[in-house]
Parts: sequence; C-alpha cells; structure tokens
Amino acid sequence: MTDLAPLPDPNAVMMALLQSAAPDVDPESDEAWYVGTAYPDELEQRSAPTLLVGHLGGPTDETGARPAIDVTVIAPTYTAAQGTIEIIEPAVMGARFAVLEGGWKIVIDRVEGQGFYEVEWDDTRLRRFMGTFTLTIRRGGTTKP
Amino acid sequence: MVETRRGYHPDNESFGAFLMSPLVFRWALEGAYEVQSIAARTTNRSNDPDARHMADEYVVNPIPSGVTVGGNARGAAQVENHSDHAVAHEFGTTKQRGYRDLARAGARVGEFRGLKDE
Repeated sequence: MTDLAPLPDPNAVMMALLQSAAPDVDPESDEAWYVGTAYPDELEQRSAPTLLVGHLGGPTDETGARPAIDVTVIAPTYTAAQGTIEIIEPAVMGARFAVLEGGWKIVIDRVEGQGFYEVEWDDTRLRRFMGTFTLTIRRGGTTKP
Repeated sequence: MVETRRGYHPDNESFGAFLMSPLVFRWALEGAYEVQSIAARTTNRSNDPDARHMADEYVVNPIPSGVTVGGNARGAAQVENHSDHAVAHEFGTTKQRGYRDLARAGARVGEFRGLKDE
C-alpha cells in the first residue's frame, strides 16, 4: 500500500481562485464580494455580487481528480453580473495553481468551462448566472500545513 | 513509424453512419439510463407512500441524430424531468440552494464537459 497525498476540497480550491480574483471592495457598491458555499444572510439586500460554489462530482485517481464545480453569480443588475463574470472567468480559466488557507498550494493542470448562462428564478430583481468548470487538480502540492 | 498507404482515403461517411447506428447509440442510451437511475435514487423523497415523487419522474429522451460533436452528427440521449418542482429543485430559489441532483448524477457517470471537440 502506498501513502497517497490528500486531495484538496474542490470547493475550497474554487473559492481560493475566486477570492484571489475578487477586488477588495466592489467599485459599484463599496461592499466586498461574498464567496461561499451557502447563501449569505439577507441575500436580497446585498448590492455587491454574491458568488456561490458547489462541487458536483467527478472522477478521482491516484494522481489527482477532475471535479466539476458549479459557480453561481448573483448580482442586482445584468451589467453587474456580467462585470463580475468578466473578472472571474479568465481568472479561473487561466489558473495554474491555487493557494488554499494555510498556504497549501495546489497544482491545476487544466481547466475546462462551459460559459455562464442566466438561470431565472423567483426573484426578478436579482439576476443569477451559472457556469460549470472542470478542474484537473493534482494531489499533494506543497505539504499540507 | 506509422505505416501509411499511398492513395488511401478513409471512408468517413460509413464511419459516421456506424457512429449513428444502434450499435453505438446503445451506449448513449445506457449512460442516460444510468444517470436516470442515480438521479432517482439521490433525489429526496417525502415519506408519503401515496405521493407522486419528483424522483420517479426523470425520463430518458433519445435523440438518434440531434447532436453535433465537432461538426459530426452523433446519437445522444437526454435525461429530463417535467415535474412542476424540477427546476426549483435542480437550480434552487432565493431561499433554498439548488440540489443539482441531475447534474451530480451526470458527473458521476460521465465527464461533465458538455459538447466539445475532444
């Protein structure tokens, strides 16, 4: 039996990529972006973009994994949502590594995306866009702290 | 070195016909039925035995020649759910995040990459 290095949490990898691309303060609303796996408190009152991450699944093997990860962008206007997508989409597609909390550095070999599309819902004031990325990530990286 | 034959032209037309034939189309259907069964098992059910459950309403819709992959027509199969609650369950509302049961089932069966030329 070989001791394999641990696989990072795909949600944490995607959140690290989104957080590194996010501006400190959203220029339009003067608030920080929310990046997480669950809805923030008072989603409807937020004026800055909300980014949600959800791991769908995907194959794993001894070298790494290919997780498919949903990214949902929720913003008050179409323009704000598209502006957010213009920042995060190239940042995720061009990512070659991600630094998780504590300095655990993960190598990303490949990123595949399918683009963002609008998914309408019960709130007509908030626009919601969804996209799915497939990351090819490796086990290990720097030593897990 | 790869052996080549002078004057040889691959018969792409019959190869395309082969990939549209029931022999190959069967795999698309089998994958779709697997996605359907996983989605039906993972979608939440209420405890009411008499209720009509959304989990039982996933259906497989064969598309024998409706999809183009890399410029070539291919057979495909879709898994759909026409229940009233299906969209809210899959994609969520402002109060409840989407469960994405169908997407998760698809990611477990095949690689979640959509229609790409690979």
